[in-house]
Amino acid sequence: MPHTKTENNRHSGSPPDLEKLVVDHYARVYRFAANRVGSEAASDIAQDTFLTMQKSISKFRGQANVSTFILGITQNLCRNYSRKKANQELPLEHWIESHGDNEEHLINRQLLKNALKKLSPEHQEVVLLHEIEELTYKEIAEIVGIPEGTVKSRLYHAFSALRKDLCGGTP
Amino acid sequence: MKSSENIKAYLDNELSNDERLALESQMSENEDLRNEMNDFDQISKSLRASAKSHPVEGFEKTRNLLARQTQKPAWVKILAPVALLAILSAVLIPAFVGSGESVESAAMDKVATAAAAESSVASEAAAPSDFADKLDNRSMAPTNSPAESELAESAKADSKQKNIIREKSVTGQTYEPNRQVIKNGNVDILVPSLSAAEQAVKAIAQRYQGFVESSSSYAPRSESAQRTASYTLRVRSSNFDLALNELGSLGDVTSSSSSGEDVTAQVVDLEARLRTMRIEEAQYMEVLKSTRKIGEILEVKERIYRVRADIESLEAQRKELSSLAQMSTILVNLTEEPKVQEPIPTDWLGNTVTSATNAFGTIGRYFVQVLVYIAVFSPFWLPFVIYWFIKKRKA
Repeated sequence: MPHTKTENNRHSGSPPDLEKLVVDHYARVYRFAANRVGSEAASDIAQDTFLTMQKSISKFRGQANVSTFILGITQNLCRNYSRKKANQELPLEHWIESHGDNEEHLINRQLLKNALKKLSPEHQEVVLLHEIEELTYKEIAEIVGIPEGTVKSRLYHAFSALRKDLCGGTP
Repeated sequence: MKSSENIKAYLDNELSNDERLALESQMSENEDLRNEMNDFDQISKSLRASAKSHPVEGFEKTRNLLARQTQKPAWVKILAPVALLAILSAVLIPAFVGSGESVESAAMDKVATAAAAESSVASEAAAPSDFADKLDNRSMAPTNSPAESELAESAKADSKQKNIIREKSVTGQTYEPNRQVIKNGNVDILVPSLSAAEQAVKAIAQRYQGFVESSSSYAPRSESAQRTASYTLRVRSSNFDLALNELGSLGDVTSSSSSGEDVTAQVVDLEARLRTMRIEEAQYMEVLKSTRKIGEILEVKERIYRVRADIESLEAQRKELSSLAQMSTILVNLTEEPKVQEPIPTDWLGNTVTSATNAFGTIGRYFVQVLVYIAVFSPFWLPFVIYWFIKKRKA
C-alpha cells in the first residue's frame, strides 16, 4: 500500500523563530544524529546543530526547506564526528534493532540486518533516510545533494538487492 | 527508467498521476510486478518495525543554552565592537611605530580570536572543517604575542648563525667554539708484543677521556701465523689528534687515515625546529583549555600527540649528532710482529752415517728391483738358458 508522507512547509521572508524551531525539530534532529553516531553523542550533535543554526538564522531567508536545512547541518556534524572517531559512517547497530519480537508477516531482524550490511553506503543512506527518518525523495535529494531521480533509482536498487537476499526474488 | 523501477516510488506515493495510472495498468496484467511490489512493501514494513528507538535527551539543556545565548543585553551588542576597535587601535598603532610586544597584544590576540570564533560559527554548517583551519591558522599566523616574538628572535638568531657558518666556510676561516664536527680515524699498527699494545691502547683511551667501545682479537693455532686485535675507541673530540699520535708511537704504523664531517648546520636546524614545535605544542595546550566541544577536544589532542612525537624524534636526532660530535671514533688494528726462528747447530758425523745408511738402503732397493724384473721375465730367457745348458753337456 502506498505510504503517505508529510512535507515541511517552506519559510519565506523573515527568519524563523529559533525557539519554535527547537521545539518543532529537536526530537527529529536528535533521532537523526542518534541513528548515525549513537545515543551518547546525539545530544551534543543536536545542541551543536541548533547553536550553528542560531548563528546563521539571520541569513536564512526561506530559500530552502528549514527542516532539510537543519538536518543538513546535523548530517555534516555527524560526518565530522565519525571521521574523527575513525568510525564507519552509518553503523547498522545505531539504527536497526538486532533482537526483538517479530510480527509473523515481517522479516526476521537478523536476516534483515545481514542483508542491509551487504548494501553499499550510498544505498544504506537512502534506505535510512526514507524508511527510518521518513523523509520524502525531495528532502533526501536536498540533504544528500543528489538529484531526485538518483534518490528514486538508489532506493529501487537497494530494495531489489534486499528482496533478492531476503525473498529470493530476481532484481 | 523501466516501469518496474517505479514500483518503489509508487509505494512511497512519489509518482505523478500519469505515472501512477500507467503502473497500475501494468500491474493488473503482470503478476511479477505485483509480487515485486508486495515484497517491497513487506521489506519496508520490516525496516520500520526494526528501527531502533532513541528516547530524546538534552532538549531542555539545549533550549536553556540557546535562551542564555540570546539574552545578551543591548549595550553589550553596541559597546562590544567599539571596545574591540579601541583595543585594536591601542595595539596596532604602537606596533606600527615599532614599540614591540606588549601586554595589550596578548589581550588583543585573545579578543580577536574570540571575535573571529564567534563570527565563524555560522559558516561551520557549510564548511565543517573550519575548526581544523582555525587550529592551523592559530599555530601558523604571525601575531605579536610573547611566544611568537621569542620564536621570531630565535629564528633570526639561527639564521644569523647559519649565515656565519656559510660565510666562513667559503672564506676558509675556522669557525669558533660551537662547531660540531664528527671525527673518525683509522690506524693499522705493527707491534712487537700484542698483549703489551692492548694494555697501552686501553690506557690511551682513558687518558684522553674516552673508552673502548668494542674489541676483537685473533690468535691462530700455527705458531708462525700472526696474532691480531682490533679496537674501536671513543675519545673526546678535542683530544682526537693527540690520541691518534700516541697510538702511532706503539709500533710501526702501516696505514693511517682520518676524516671529519661538519654537522653544525644540521644541529642548529634541528634546534630551531624543536623550538618551533615546542611553541606550537604550548599553543595547542592553550587552545585545549578553552575548548568545550568533544569533537574539537579530540582534534586538538590528536594534534598535540603528533607534535610531541615529532619533538621526540628530533630530540633523538639532535642527541645522536651531538654525541657523535663530542666523542670521536678511532678504529685501531694491531698486528703482532712475526717471531724469527734461531738456526739449529749441525752434527757432521751423524749426518755422514745417516746419508751412508740412506745410500745403502737405496742400492739395496735397486738390487731387489732388478731381481724382481728377472723373475718376472723368466719365461722369455729361461728356455734359452736351458737349451744352452743341455747342448753344453752333450758337447
